Parts: sequence; C-alpha cells; structure tokens
Amino acid sequence: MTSLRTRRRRTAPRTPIPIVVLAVIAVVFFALPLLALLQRVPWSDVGDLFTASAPREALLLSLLTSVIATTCALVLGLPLAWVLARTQLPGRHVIRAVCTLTMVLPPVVAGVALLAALGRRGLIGASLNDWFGIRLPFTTPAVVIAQVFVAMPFLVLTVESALHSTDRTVEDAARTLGASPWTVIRRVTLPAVRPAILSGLVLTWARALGEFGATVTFAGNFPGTTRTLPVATYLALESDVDQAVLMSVLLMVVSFVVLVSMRDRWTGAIGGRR
Amino acid sequence: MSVHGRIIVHVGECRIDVPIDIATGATVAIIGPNGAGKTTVLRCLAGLQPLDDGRLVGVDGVWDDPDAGVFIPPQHRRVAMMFQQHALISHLNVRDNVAFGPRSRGVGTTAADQRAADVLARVGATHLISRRVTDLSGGEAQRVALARALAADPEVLLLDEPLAALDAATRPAMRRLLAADDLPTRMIVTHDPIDALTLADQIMVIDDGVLVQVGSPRELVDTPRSAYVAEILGLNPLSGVLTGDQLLIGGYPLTVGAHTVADGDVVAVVRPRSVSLHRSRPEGSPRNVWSTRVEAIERSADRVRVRLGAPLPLVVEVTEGGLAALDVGTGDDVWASVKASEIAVFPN
Repeated sequence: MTSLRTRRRRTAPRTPIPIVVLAVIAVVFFALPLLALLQRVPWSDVGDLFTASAPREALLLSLLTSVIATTCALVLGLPLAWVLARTQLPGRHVIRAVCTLTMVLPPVVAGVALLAALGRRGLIGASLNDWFGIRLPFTTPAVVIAQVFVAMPFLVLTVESALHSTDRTVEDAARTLGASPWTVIRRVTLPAVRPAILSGLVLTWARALGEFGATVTFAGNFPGTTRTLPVATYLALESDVDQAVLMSVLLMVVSFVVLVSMRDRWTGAIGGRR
Repeated sequence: MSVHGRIIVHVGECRIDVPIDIATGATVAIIGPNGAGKTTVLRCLAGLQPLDDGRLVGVDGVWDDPDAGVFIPPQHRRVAMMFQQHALISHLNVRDNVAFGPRSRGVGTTAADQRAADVLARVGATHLISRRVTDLSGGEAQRVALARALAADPEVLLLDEPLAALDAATRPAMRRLLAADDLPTRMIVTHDPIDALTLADQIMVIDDGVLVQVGSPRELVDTPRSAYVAEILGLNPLSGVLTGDQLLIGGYPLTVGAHTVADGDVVAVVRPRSVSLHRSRPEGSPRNVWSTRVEAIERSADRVRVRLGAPLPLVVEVTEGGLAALDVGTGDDVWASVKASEIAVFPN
C-alpha cells in the first residue's frame, strides 16, 4: 500500500544527480557574495552611516535619475519597438542592431561614445555649446542620458517581441468595428502588450539604477549632481569601506525587492505571452 | 445595389480578380477550396486589404478606387467582420467587447452598454455579459463575436468561416442565428457546401482567385457550369416543413432520419449519389419511394447527372454503367428511392 502510494506520487522522473550538484553550485555562487556582503554590514553604525549626507544624497540622485531615464526610455522606446515590429522599413535589422548595441557594449565605451557625440567638442555637443551655451557632460542630465543610452534596449526588445506575438486579427476586428488607428493602439494593442511593457520597464529601471561605467565616463563624479549610488559606492571603497558596504546593500535590497515583487506578475511575460 | 464593383488584388503569387454584386439584404456565400482567395475578398470589402486594381462601391459611395486614389479605411465603412477564431479582445469582458463598436463610433458609455445588452439578448448570450472573454467556450465566444459585429450596426456583415471552429453540438444554434431574417446584408465565407446551400440566397464559387460561377443555390445545383462546381455543390437543397420525422416538400411527404432540428421550416439536403433509380417499384426496405419522370440527362467528365421532375426536383448522380443497366432516357418514367438517413435537415 505504502509503496503503491509513493510510486503514484512520483509524477516527474528523478532529476539526475550531476544536474542537482551543478545547480546547487550555481545557487551558492550567486548567494555567497550577497550573503558575505550582508555579513560585512556594520549593523551597530547603520543609523549613523545612513544619516550621513553622502549615501542619502547618492541614493536620492540615483532614484531620481533612474526614474526619469526609465520614463524617457518609455516615451522613445515604445515608438521604436512599434516601428521595428510593425513596419516593413528596409534595413530594420541594422536599425535594431544599432539601437540595442549598448546592451552588450562595455558601458565605458558607451560613455566615450556619448562624449564623442555630446562632449564640448563633440559632433553635436560643439554646436550645442556654440549656439545655445548648453554643456551636457558632467551634469545631472548627462547622468540621465547615459542611463537611457544603455538601458532603453531592454524595453525596446521586450516590447518588440510582444508586439510580434500579438494576434493581429484582433486589431483587424477592432478596425472594422469603427476604431480609428489611434483607438486600436490605445484600446487593443497597448493593453495586449501591457505585461511586456511593465517587465521592460522594470528591466530598464534596474539597468539604469545600476549604471556605472557610462555615467562615470560621460557625467563624471560630482557630489549631488552626478555621483549616483553605484559611483559613490566605488569611491567609498577607497575611503570608507563601511559606507561602501552599506550603499551596496542598499542597492541590493532595492533591486531585490523590486525583482521579487514583480517576478510573477510581470517579468514572467518576458518570454512572450500566448 | 448594396455593394458592387470588381476586386483585383495580388496576394503573394496569387492574383485575385472577382466581380462583386451584392443586393441589399441578401445573404451571399463565398465557397471554394483553401487558398482560393475567399478570405481576401472579405478583407477587401472590409477595407483591411486595399485593392490593387478595380473598384468597390458601397451603399454610401466609393469605398476603394486605386485609379482615382480613393480609399475609405475600415472604420469609415459600415461593415463589420467576424473572424474564424472570434478575435475577441482578451483584456475586455464580454460587455466591453460588444460595446466596443458603438464606443469607437462615439456612443456614450451608458448607451453603448445598453446596446451591448440588447444585442447579447438577441443572440441568446445575456448570461455571458459579465464573463471574461478568456473563460468562454468556442461556441460562446463565437456567439459573442457575432453580437459584437451586430452591435456596430453594419450595413454589411462579413463572416469568415463562422461555423468552422465550432463543434457539432454548438453549430446548429449558430446556424440558426446566421439564418435570422432581421440580420443585415451578409457575406459568408465557407468551405462547406451545406452551409452555402442552407444559409445563402446567392452563392459565389471561387477557385484560384477567379469567380467560377455565381447564382442561387438552385441554379448552381441544377446547372453547374463546371465539373468543379458540380463536385462541391453536388447537393440537392429542398425547402420544406418538418414535423417530427415527417418532412413535407411542396405537399410531398418524406421520412427523415434521426435529427435534432425543431419542427417548422427547414432546408433538407439530399446527396445526388444517395438517390437510387429503378425501372419498377423497389420491394421491401423502409425507404422513401416515389414514381417520377426523367427530365434531363447531363454528362460531364465521368459523371452522369439525371434530373428528375415532380414531385421532387432532384438531381441524381449515376455511373455510365448504372444508366445503361437502367435503360431509361429523357421523358421516361422511373421509380426513385432514398433512405431516411440520407436526408439531412437544417433549420431555415
């Protein structure tokens, strides 16, 4: 009776031991450094460290710039994803490659490229400076630009893939029912890809929040204006390790909370709904 | 004239060239094999596929005329299209799906919801009004899709294989809805000759992008202009009144087999090959047997079609050998018989 029951309960075949062992190693590989970080936190001084102005300033700047950057990525990235997914534009593949290159490029290279374009002697930067007196590098807008530059591809690719997999006949039906092209986008298409937009936003925001290389190259490291949390953390390592650890944990906790709370509802849609 | 003109459009390698002439209030079936261009014709009428050449004129003026540079987009034509896979908007519930058409044309929320409720009642789907679209069965979803199309108050209703996705249990109810008298002008794409014969008063046979023949069901069955038409429409539709298993066709009684159709007006379909001909009255077997006269004998390719006169105007298909054995000619008297189970009835 007992053996029968156990046999019936085992619905999936037993996972081979080598797979289990390697998977456990992978989990430890991820978890160990994060746990080590928590273990290094000087818990008794947390209050003092946090009320210090530097980490707070950096955190606020990071939150502010990453939210603005995510908004910019949404405003520009949605139309781009639309064009890539829904038009027969010649050279779409090249455009897609150009627009998502920064995702795989070393962030420092992205920063150098931004300097070449928008720096004081840059391709556009020189004109901006001469004609309008606008100097972007080493300002808070430069932080946002660097974040948008490296993070927007996450939104574009996620939404584009969702737009490809939506059922076009639903849009056709809506059109024959009297909906204008705008109404179709607003009431049919966008709601259909909403999960993908949300998961794309989360990924974009997380990437913007963690941005370091492009920011430090293009925007520099000025307290209060361009010193974001990742930059401040790296700097603190040389002067005040406790503060560096605290800021690292801060970044980790914020990202962890967001990932866990979004996971089931939104990021599950990355693989494409339907 | 409701909609007329000529559709010329290229889809991939295929060229579609079909004249269109649909009378107001008519039910037109478009029948043909897969890939013949049936759905493309509907999409052109809906405005989802612009014409390459030709011209389409709707009730309210020119819809599409590439030469004159005129193209009225779908939302400004009074058509509604119902798709094979219902194409309901999955994040809206049933009410909001049905109210979508009126809302899109500027009707207020309250009035649009009222309209949705009215139309859902008309298709017998009131109980579904608050349901999520993703929770509907195939038959329910198709019913809601029909309600949604009707709620848009179209002049022309375009139906792409409205019965194909339904199972045998839900098909009769949908067929009844599609046959209702108070529907607008209907254009039904189908691959099923029985649907075409029972639902339409005009049938367009399309093959390989070309209109092979157009006419009433009777005309197409009686005088198929090609072996292809004879092949796909080789059926005898008969209008009659059903009472239990007794079917009265122009005063002549037939016994029909098991069915689930309610008493009243029906269309009965008899396959030409299921009618047998005899020189003398056949003995035994509980069949429908009657005496009649050979009106005409037509030969096309390898088939022989014998047209019978009163009381039942049927076309019977026999082999060359069968006809020789029977030894009858035009004008001769014969006995005809058909099994009760070979007479299919559909609500009209």
